[in-house]
Amino acid sequence: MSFTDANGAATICYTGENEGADILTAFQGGLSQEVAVSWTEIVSCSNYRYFLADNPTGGGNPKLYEYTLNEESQVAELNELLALPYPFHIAYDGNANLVYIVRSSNGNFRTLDVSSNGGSLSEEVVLSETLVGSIAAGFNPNGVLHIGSEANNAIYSVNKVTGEVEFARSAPVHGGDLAFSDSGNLYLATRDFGGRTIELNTEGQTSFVQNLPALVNGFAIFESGYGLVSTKNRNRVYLGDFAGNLLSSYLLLLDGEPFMKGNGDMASGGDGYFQSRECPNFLTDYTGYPQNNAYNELYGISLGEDDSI
Amino acid sequence: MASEDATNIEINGVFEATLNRGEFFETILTASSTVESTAPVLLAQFIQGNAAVGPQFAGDPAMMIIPPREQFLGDYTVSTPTSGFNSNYLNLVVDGNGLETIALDGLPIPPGAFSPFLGTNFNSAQLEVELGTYSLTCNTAFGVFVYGTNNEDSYVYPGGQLYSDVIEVNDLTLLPQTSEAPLFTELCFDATLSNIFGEPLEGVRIDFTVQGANEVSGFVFYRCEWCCYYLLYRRE
Repeated sequence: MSFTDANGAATICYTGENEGADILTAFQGGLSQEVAVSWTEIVSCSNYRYFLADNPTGGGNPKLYEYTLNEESQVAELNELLALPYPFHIAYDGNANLVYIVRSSNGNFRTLDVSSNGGSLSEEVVLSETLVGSIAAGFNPNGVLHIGSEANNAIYSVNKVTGEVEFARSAPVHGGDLAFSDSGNLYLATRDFGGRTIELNTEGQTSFVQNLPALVNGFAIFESGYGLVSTKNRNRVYLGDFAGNLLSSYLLLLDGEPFMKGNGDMASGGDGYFQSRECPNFLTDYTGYPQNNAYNELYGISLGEDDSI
Repeated sequence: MASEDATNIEINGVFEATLNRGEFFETILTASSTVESTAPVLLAQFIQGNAAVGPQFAGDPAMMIIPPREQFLGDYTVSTPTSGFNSNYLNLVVDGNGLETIALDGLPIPPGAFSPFLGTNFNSAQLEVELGTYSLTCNTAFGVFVYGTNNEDSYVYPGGQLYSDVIEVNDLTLLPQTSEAPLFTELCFDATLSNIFGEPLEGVRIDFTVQGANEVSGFVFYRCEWCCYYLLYRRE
């Protein structure tokens, strides 16, 4: 529990360590006020997946890999998905099983369908404005792609269908990566300040999360809610909590050999969000009540990407 | 001593007197006690001298003003005189939420050292200490009273006091009113205080408790550097 006597308010902050409901009460003299607080266990949704983009510094085509984490052997086993002739960075939409492959030079992107029957690479979506130095990307669970431009020190939201770019906020995008937690919190790993993760809140403020290696280049949310970090010229990914503690590290292996990461970044996600204990496949039903005395009918509704029903 | 007419006084939950402004009520207490009033009062505690108590007590009379619990602090540094007093004590008053965390010079004071005030959530302890300086801390606000005696000599003083207009508090808000979050994340809530004019009140302590799946407690002082300007503006 921490307290801040910030100007104009008395602030109490605390961390829920046990699942369930709390009542927080503030007292002053004979006055009191209560608020209800609910803490929900973070659960892993099925099909949580991890991806790594590698832009080799010693030549060769940039490649996209998927990797699996073996906690027992502390190994991250890489599986190559594709190679492209230009440097790129990635974001992942776990609900649609789409990896967004963002061209580093201008921010234009393609998607790779990584569902079980997928594998198809989309046509490139051209952005409404060029984002030079697009070296960070993240996919908000609310469905919006975000791209960080190192050249502009700014983050942009991008319409995933039209490529329309909208300035989101300034941020020290420097060599690192963007990642959204499944509850929508936005984190930026940056090489500024000697390497660190900062949280970018919706009011345009930043808050320190943890120090990172100086050459951090990838940041992804681990399925338990912790952070995975990759760095240039190292053959490991590191798992840490958001309090600065290193929990473990995984040796990157490709075809049984240690894999040295160059430039590039990481992405991760599941097919559900972490906001509740459930990881449902969302279904929407609609009951029709016809006015002509016909039978009521029950329909399932699916929403298309173009807002069609 | 009463500040308003028709002020009722209760000691340990028992009605004792009705006072008008400027009048006082005096009684002898032999154990830890609670004093409650229906309007602000000034409360003083006396040590009786050996002429009143008898030869079993060596000390002289002494007096201290007792701060109300709303003006307790969360940490104190207190000192005895450097010499000349054979018996020195710290009297402590702490609510139940602070029993596990109250500490003397960083070392926890065993909860068993405290006795409850019947009918309240408060507890008291009397610790005999050597001559010296002491640091006391707790995660909730608590009271400290320091006293000592020697042959026909005494001293007594409250360990500290928050000087804020607690009596002017008219409204307390706490936002947001509900909140939900994943485990092991942090949630923050803002409390604000105002008087009957809706004006913020500087420096008043707000206590917090969390009960349920997670149990913690603490306090914070309401601070607003612009309060003075605001009050000037309002009153002009």
